[in-house]
Amino acid sequence: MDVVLHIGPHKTGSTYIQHALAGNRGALEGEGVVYPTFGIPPKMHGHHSLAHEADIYLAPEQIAKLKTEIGERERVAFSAEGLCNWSNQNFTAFADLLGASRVLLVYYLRDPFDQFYSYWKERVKQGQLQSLPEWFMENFGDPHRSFVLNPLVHLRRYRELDERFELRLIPYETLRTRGEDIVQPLWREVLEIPNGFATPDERQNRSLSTEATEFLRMLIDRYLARNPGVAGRVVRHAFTRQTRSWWLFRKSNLVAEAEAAMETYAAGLSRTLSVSRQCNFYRSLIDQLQKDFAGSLVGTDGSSLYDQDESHLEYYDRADLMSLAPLAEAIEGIATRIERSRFVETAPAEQVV
Amino acid sequence: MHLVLHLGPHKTGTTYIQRILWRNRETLTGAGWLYPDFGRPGNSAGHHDLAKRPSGQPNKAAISELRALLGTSDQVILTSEQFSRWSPDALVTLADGLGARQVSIVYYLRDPFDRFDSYWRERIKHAEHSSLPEVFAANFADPHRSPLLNPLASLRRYARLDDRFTTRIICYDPIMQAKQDICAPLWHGVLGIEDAYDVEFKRPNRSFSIEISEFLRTLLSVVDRRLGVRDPRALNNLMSRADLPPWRFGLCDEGREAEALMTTHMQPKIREQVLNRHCQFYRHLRQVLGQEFGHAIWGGVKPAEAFAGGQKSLTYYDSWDLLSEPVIRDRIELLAERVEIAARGAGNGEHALA
Repeated sequence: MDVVLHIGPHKTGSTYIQHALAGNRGALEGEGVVYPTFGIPPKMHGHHSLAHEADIYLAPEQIAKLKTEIGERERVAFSAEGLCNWSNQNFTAFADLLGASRVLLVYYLRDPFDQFYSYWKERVKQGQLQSLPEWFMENFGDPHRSFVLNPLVHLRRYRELDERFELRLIPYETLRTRGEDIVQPLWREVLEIPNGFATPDERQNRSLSTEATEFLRMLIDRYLARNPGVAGRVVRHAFTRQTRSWWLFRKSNLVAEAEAAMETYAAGLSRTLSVSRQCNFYRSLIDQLQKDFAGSLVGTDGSSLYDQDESHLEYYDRADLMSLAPLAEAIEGIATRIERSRFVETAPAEQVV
Repeated sequence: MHLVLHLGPHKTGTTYIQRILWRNRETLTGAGWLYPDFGRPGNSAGHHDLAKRPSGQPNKAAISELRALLGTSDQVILTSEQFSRWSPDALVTLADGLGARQVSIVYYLRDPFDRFDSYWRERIKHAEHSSLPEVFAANFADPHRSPLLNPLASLRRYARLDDRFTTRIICYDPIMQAKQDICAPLWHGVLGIEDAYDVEFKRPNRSFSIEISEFLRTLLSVVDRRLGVRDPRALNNLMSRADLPPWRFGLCDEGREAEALMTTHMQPKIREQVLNRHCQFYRHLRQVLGQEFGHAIWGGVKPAEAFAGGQKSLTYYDSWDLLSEPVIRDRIELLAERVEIAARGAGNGEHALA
């Protein structure tokens, strides 16, 4: 049996790819590929339960259920960005349990600095309060060891897997630059479906704007100050309208309100972190990828894997923003609206980054 | 003439060394070394006026004036950390202008992470109020190109100078670890003086505690927001008008009070980032130091022992955390008010910013 594992990583269009796979489940069946429902949480399309609860889902009785779903078919595909953090032991056990003769690990390579920035915004969406400079400090102190900045942290580990495992690296930037749909290489080069399938119209799990991200960061801070111990996700779900169970947030667009408030009160206060792509870390990363992983790259020779320009990362200072009385009032006002809602009971399950 | 040029860099005990040299100038003269009075600002022991380059070029008139004052002296010491910013051409101009046939550049090499931390706190004393994470980002985005983190760029510049120049690298950290005096290698080693020197009672320019530094930084940012100063020099002047000069804030009553308040109310909010020195950047530094500059390191220190080992803990506070604590916020607002009043000429309509 051939197993395809799309393993992310985070912030490389995984949610969109999972929508495409789940939305084409029937068409994939027609090509002899199963995209199992096994290990997919309710209302989601990726195998996040399998990824995050491997100890449960790799138990023999669970695998028996999966095998029933696969039936006699010879190709099976899974997708979850959390799989990139699986130990090699988990990968091997999964291949053994399924009786896989070949396992394709599909990993999207995204520009480290873009991914770093996008990852920060996602963390804020997940309820984290760290500022961009603090997130920078956490990762750039030793960028070679940062899994956010250095894909080699993952890739070198995968190379130690046995010969059943093959790596397919899909260059995210190259596809975006060419204006190509990022799911197409998965259809064509990995699943060997030349014409591919229709893909979702809208990008899923889009990053928030910097202004909305900073507003949310302050909102979570204020909400937690007033409601100690309550998870930041309560605010996040209200903010990003991930619940449809309460009228206020179904009818409100807090992101738009936040962006409008920031535009009105905080115009001109943004700050910038500039990061040169001519740095030693970047050059050594590209050298290593070309030297050790050129054979795994899909649709590129690796010469134009990433951008070359300087990266400018925008952010705001919390003290700057909170010192603006009308903005602070807007934040407190939204915090009050969230408090008055019955959100705590209705927020959906957390997806952990 | 043999010129010994001690050029720091910043945060390697330069003020202390300069004060030792100035205090012991008669002993130096007795040993055949001239420590010129010329080129020093009135309140400083270092030759910072000589090292200033208002037009971006060395002050040739000042260099000529100094040469005339040197007379027959054939051993001269100059010291200013500002010389570390001079280009190779500028250093050649200085050597030529003074008629030096031999120039010993003395460079104190300090652990990059320690120096970074110390430098950030020093910036606050000069009325700059960027947070530690922001200054970190500016330097660690490309540590190899950061003059603060990477001494190799400076050392390589000096290595390319003509054969009159030699570089003596003195490793700061092993000296501090051994609790030796930081001036001793320069005095005994480079200048070759056997007699002891008179040590100052009090160490100058000590870093403020993190509590004082962060209180002051937040105060500076509040004043800046209120008055829209933007320029650290102008901010420094305004603070000084209110009798709160940033460089001595830690020594005044307001600073001591701030430290006590911070210790009482803010310590649970202190933040930490741990940096590991077992990283590629440090490996690269040690390797290149050994390959290219091993011969220039004073005292037989091996490149592997040049820097502190293990981890570096960077501690800091978030300004908004300070402003969210009523006691601290009230104190900061009070002091900011004082600066604002001073800036407006104590209500007489004279605006200091104008």
